[in-house]
Amino acid sequence: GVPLTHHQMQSLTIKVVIDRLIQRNLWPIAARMCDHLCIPEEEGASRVKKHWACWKVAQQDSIHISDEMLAAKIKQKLQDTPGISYADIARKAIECKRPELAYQLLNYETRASQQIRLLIQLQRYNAALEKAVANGDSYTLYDVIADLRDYMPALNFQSLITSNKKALKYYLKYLKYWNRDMLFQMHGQNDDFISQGLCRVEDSFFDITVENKITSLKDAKMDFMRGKGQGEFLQSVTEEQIKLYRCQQSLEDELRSPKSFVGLSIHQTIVKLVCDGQDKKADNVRKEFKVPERKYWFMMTAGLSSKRDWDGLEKFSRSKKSPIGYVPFVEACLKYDQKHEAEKYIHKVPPEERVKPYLMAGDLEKACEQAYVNKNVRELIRVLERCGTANRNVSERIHGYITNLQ
Amino acid sequence: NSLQGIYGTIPKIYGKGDSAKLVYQYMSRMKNETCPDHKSSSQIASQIDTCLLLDRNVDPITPLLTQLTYEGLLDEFVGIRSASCKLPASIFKSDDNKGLSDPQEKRKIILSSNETLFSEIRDKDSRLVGPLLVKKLDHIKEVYDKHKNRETSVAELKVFTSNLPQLVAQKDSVSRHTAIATLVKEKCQDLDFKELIEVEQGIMFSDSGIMNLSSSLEIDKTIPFIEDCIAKQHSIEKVLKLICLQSVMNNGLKQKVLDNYKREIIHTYGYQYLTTLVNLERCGLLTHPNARVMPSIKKTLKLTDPDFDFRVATDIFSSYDGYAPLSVRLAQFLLTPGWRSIDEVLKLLPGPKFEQRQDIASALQRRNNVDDSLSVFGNENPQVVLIFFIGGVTFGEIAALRTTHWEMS
Repeated sequence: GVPLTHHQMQSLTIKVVIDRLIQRNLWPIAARMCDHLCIPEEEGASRVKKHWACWKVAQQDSIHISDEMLAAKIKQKLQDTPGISYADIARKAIECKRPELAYQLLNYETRASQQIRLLIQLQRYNAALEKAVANGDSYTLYDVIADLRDYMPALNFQSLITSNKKALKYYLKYLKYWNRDMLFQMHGQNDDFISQGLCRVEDSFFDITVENKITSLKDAKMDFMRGKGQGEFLQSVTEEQIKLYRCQQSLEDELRSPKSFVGLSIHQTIVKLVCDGQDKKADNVRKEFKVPERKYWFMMTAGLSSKRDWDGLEKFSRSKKSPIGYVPFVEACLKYDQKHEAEKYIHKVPPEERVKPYLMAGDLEKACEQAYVNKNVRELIRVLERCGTANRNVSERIHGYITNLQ
Repeated sequence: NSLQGIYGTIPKIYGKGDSAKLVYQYMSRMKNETCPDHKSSSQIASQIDTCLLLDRNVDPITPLLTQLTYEGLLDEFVGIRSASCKLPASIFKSDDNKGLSDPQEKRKIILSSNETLFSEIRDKDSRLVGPLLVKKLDHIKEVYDKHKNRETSVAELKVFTSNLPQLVAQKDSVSRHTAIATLVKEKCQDLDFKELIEVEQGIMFSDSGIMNLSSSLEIDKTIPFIEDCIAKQHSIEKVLKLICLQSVMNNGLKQKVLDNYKREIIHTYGYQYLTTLVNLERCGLLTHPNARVMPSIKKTLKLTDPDFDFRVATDIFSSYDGYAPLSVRLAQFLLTPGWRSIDEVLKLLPGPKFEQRQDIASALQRRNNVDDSLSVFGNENPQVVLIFFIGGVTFGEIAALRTTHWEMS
C-alpha cells in the first residue's frame, strides 16, 4: 500500500488521486477506492474500467487471443457499469491498429451515432448503412449516405445502396432535388422505366420552348413503352399531350398570342378559345381530340358565360337538344348573377327536375310550388331546409303541402 | 420517448401497420440508448396504461370522407391550423363596426376546449348546433331579464353582479359561434355540397363487392356524377377524393372505369397531374380490382349503420352520419373484447400487428384496483389510453373518439 495523509489527499483532490492510481495501472485499488468513497459510477468506476480496457487493447501480447474473444472479455468485465462508452475503447483500438477488435467492440455500443461514425472510419460501409437505417433518424441517414458516396468508389456505392431498400428510397428522394441526372440513372439501374419516363415528364415542364418539351415527351414515351403495367396508358396519354402541344403552338402562331395556350389542358384550351370568340377553332380542337359531346357542351356553356355572351349562349342552347339538360345553363347564368337569363332556361327544364334550379336561383316560392306539383315530399323537405326566418309563409305552406301528400 | 420520460413507461403497447412497427422499434431503441440498464430508467409512476400505434394506411377511408361535425366542417371549409382558423371579419356583427369592415379582412378565431361552449358543440353533427345555440341564447336572456324587474333583493343582485363577467363571456361566446355556425350552415346548404354528401353516403352504404342490384345502381349513379364534376371543373381534390373512396370501398375499380377517370382528369385538369395519378396507384388508393376484403371488414367491424339518425343518438356514428371510422373501431375492439376476436379482419388490413409489453417495476404500475377490498377509493381509476396515428388524424376521428361509448370489460 501507499500511505497517504489526509492533508495530501485534500490538496491533490480525490480525482487526481484516482487518476494517478489509474496511470500506475492499479485499477483494483482505484475501483475499491471509488466504491468506498461512494463516488458516482460515471465519474469513478467507469473511468477506471475504461482505462483498463484501453490498456488491455493496447497490450501487444494479447494478440494471440482472437479479437472477438478479447472484445467479449472486455464486455464481460464492463457489463454492469453504466456510462461506458465502447466507442471510446474502439477508438483506442483503431489507434493501436486493431480494426477487427474495434469492430467487435463497436457491436456493444448502444449509441448509434457514435457507432456509425466509427464504422465509416473502419470502412465497414455495409454495417454503417444498415445501422443507420435501423436507427431511424433521417438526418443521420442522409449524412451517412453523403459520406458513403464521398468515400466509396462509385460502383461499390451504387450496388450497396441498391441492395438496401430503405436507404435506396431516401437516396432517390435526395436525388430528386439535388441531382436529377443521377436519379434518372438510378431508375435505369433498377429497371424502373416508368419512373424514368416520369422523370422526363417532370423535366419537360421545366423546358421553355415547345420543341424541347416535345422532345422530352418523345423520350418519355420510349421509356413508357418499355415499362410494364401502366406503360400503355401512360404512352397513349403522352402521345396525346405531344399532339396537344403542337396544336397549341399553331394556335398561338395563328392568333398571334404567344404563351397563352401552351400548358393548358384540352378542356381549358377549348373554353379559352370560346371565350376569345374563336368558335370555329374550338370546334376544330374538339374534332381533333374526339371530345365527347356531353363534355363539349359543358365547355361551351363555361366559355360563353364567362364571356358574358348571353345571346350566344341562348343561340347555342337552341342549336339542338342539349345532351346535358338545361340545368348547367341555369348554373352558368347564376354564376354571373344573371337571374333573368337563368329563368329562361328553367322553363326548358322538364318539370320533374325544376325544383333544383329554382332553389339555385333562390326562388323558394316557385320551388315549393313545383315540388308540390311533382308530389315529391323529399323535394319539399329540401326547400323547407332552405327557408329561414324570412320565409315563414313559405315554410308554413310547405308544412301544409306535406301533410296533404301524406 | 420524451413522453415516457414525463408520464412514465407505458406497460402495454399495441400497434397495426408497417410504420407502427417501425415507430415501436425506434422507440425501444431510443430507450435503450438513453438508459442502457434498468437502474437509471424513469422512476415516475406510469400514468398511461396502454398505447396504440396506428398506421394511417390501415384506415384510408376516413380521411377521404367529408367530416360532418361542427369542428370538422369548419376544417373542411376554412381549414383549422394549430387550433385556430381565419374567418371573414364581416360575419361578426359588432356595434362599433356597423358594416364598415372590409370584406377581405379576416379575423383569427381560436378554438379550444377551454371555451366551454366550443367543447360542447365541436363534436356534434353540425345540424344539431343551430338549435342548441338558440337555446343557450334564450337561457342567457332569461337570466338577464330575471333581474330587470324591481323586486329582486339586494342579495340576489349581488350574486348576479358577481356572475356578470362570466355571463358576458358566455354571451360573447354564443354570439361568436352563432355567426360561425350560420356561415357553416350556408355552405352546407350549397347544392353541390349536398350532392357530394349524398354520393359519399351512396358509396359507403352500398353493399360493395356483392354484385347485387344496389351496388350496380350505386356505381351507375356515381360514375356520371364524378364525370360531371370533372366536366364542370370542380376542385381536383374533390374529384380525386371521390374516386379514391370509390376504389377503396369497392376493392378496386374496373380497368375501363379507371382508365376513363384518369384520361378525363388529364384532359380536363392538365397533363401535370400524370405523376399524381401514378403515385395514387402506387400507394394503393386507386387500384384495379383486387381481393374482396371490404365486405367482411365492413360487416365484422360494423362500420356503417344505415338506420342511424343524428337527432336521436350521439355516438361513434355521429361524425360521419352513419359511418364509424375504422381506426376508432379498431381502438374500441382493442379494449373490449380485445383484438383476438377480430383476428381474421386484422389480417385483411395492411401491415403487421403487434403487441408488446414494456417491463416496469410493479410499484410504478398504475393502480386499477377493482376488487381490492383494502382500497380507500370506491371507484376504479379510469384507464388511460394513448392513441397515436402515424400519418395524421382527422377532426372527425377525434370527435368519434370523444363520443364513442367506451365499455370496459
